[in-house]
Amino acid sequence: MSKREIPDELHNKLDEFHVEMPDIPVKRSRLERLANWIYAPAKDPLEILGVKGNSIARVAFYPLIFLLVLFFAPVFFI
Amino acid sequence: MSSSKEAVSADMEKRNELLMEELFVAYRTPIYQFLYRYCQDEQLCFDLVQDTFVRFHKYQDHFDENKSSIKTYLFRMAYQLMINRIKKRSRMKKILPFLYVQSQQQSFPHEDKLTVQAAIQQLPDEQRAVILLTYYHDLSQKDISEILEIPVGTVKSRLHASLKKLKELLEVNK
Repeated sequence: MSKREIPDELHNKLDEFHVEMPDIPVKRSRLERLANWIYAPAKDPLEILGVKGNSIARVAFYPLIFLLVLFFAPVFFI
Repeated sequence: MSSSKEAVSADMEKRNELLMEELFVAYRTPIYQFLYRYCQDEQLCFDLVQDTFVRFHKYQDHFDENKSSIKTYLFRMAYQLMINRIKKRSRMKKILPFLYVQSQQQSFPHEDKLTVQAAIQQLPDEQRAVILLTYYHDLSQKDISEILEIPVGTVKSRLHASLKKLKELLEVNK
């Protein structure tokens, strides 16, 4: 099977996948790579706690729980 | 005598660098496009294109033009580098999952009709490479078998399977 045997409809669909070519220099810079790695998008760590943009109450509530746990933790070691 | 030797080696080095630059200009775009369509990660592909040429520069003595074309050789190098990086990344993802964003496939599970990008991403890895090299890079099945280091028969069967799956995913009439 070759490219010519692919149906027209699938041809059209596959042609929709355009790739923008960035300007890539020949030589790599380690510093640039490190910076890109650091600034790469990462998963939101607050997602686990269910904190979203408008849940200010939860943002205020979680440190309180943390403080309470910290405060009462020594009780279990007495 | 030694100065003439030095001049010859400097000349060779300069010619080598010019050749490398020519190769880079000629092949960076197809290699980037192949890698991007495969993993859809701009930064990773950016690094991989550079790594491919750095590696080629380092091991260019291993290249035998009687065995394969320069295009096939570079594509194979880029593909191997990408597979290694993806494996490494998936190992890291298991250890530190919070560092990685969800893939496109997981982010939009309820879309009625898939885009071609998402459909390609949903193909199994081994089928994806075959369809990309066939359709977007017009490579022969023999070249693809050299790039992926698989028999020509396997290329044919994977191509057939990938087209069937793509038709299903994109809801294309047969």
